[in-house]
Amino acid sequence: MASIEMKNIVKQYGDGYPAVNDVSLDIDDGELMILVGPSGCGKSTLLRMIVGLEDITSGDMVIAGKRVNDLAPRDRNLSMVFQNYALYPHMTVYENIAFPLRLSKTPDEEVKRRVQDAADVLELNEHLQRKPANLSGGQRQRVAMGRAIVRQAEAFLFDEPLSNLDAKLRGQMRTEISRLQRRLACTSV
Amino acid sequence: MSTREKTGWWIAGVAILLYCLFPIAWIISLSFKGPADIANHQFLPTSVTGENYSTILTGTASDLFLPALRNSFGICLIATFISCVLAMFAAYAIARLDFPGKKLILSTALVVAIFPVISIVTPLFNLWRQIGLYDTWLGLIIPYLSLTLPISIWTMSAFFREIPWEMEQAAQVDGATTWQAFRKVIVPLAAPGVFTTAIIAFFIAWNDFAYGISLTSTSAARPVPAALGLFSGASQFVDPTGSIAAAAVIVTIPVVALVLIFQRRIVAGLTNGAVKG
Repeated sequence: MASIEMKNIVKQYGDGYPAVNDVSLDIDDGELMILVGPSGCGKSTLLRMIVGLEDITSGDMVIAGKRVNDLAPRDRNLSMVFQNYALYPHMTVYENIAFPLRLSKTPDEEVKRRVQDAADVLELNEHLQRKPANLSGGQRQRVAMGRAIVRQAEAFLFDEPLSNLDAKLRGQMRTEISRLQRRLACTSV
Repeated sequence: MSTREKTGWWIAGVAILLYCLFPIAWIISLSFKGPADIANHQFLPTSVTGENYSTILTGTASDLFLPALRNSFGICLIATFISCVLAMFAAYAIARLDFPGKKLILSTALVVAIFPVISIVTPLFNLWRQIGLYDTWLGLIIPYLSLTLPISIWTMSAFFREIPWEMEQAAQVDGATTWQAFRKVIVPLAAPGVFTTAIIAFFIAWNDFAYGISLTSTSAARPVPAALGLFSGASQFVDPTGSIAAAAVIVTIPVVALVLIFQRRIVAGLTNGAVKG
């Protein structure tokens, strides 16, 4: 787990439009930080700059004490749950969650153990062999979260995780996410 | 739909099918007619005979037809394979990146595709003779690439554009290099597109006649359409119509079977569950 410090972060697009205008924010280790704001205010852009999918025009992004401005997403050891889940449709739920572990060449028994742990926490056990196309919205979201937590990354980023769910499910997932965060004690944005 | 509408659609469907398939049915029946029967003005042969088939498979025409079949399969498969691999990389770049010269590449591909083949054949004949590519497989594979590459690039970049960008981004966050993201996430998702492109490219190469007849002179590299054009009958007094019909049947039916097999592999909506909305 790690702290995230943003110092004077600015994101300017080619036409000079400042999507993120001088943001300085410190997130402590283990803290759950929620960014709220009207649409178009730059929340997603800021999140993508933290994970490395967007370049930072100026300012410093420091994760666990290290300046990461020039690091690729795969080197930053962060997990992200995308707004549209971005599950791999040609893989089963098990393979989706196992994917980050397979990329880091984790041995098979270890992969099985960690995927099983994640599935237990998120109650996905009976869905492990199904494909994303056959799951409901809430189930897909839990798979996306499973893929994020299985890596034990330094911090978790959630990009509007509740926006694609209906009202009742939204309330349910809100509680689940905060319970999960407290249980794993991970820095989450 | 009411019963009357249904029967109406059925009749229309059958009529269109008959209209489209009748020439093929005629060719099949022609292939079973003996030399005396060919001009009998009837659909069915008066006596069914397999002599056309035996002529082209084991008889006098077989040393023209069988090597031609082998040449066509080999040359077209190789040309299709090369252009699919090259087009995959080109299409990925075109679909994902914005680089200077992108429009130029696409328009050049289009220009190459619509350029009339026959005007290039004579200079190519001279050039190939001089550098020794005349009447070789490579001498046909290279021009065939000019036929298959443009359409492959255009088709595949349309397929790649369908895959949401989030797939690679999720893979990047999960720890994949660009090559790993391409190989493990994009290629499986693009597989139906690659199959479709391969089928289209194969048929374009298979149906070529101009290059085939001008750039070859022996059975070493002559493809099937060119060989069919050079058929003669069982003797110099006999019209080769029957053997040409038999050859056409042999060449068309496996091709139709291939298309049916691949069509089942194209699973529509493969990316339905990945991204919400």
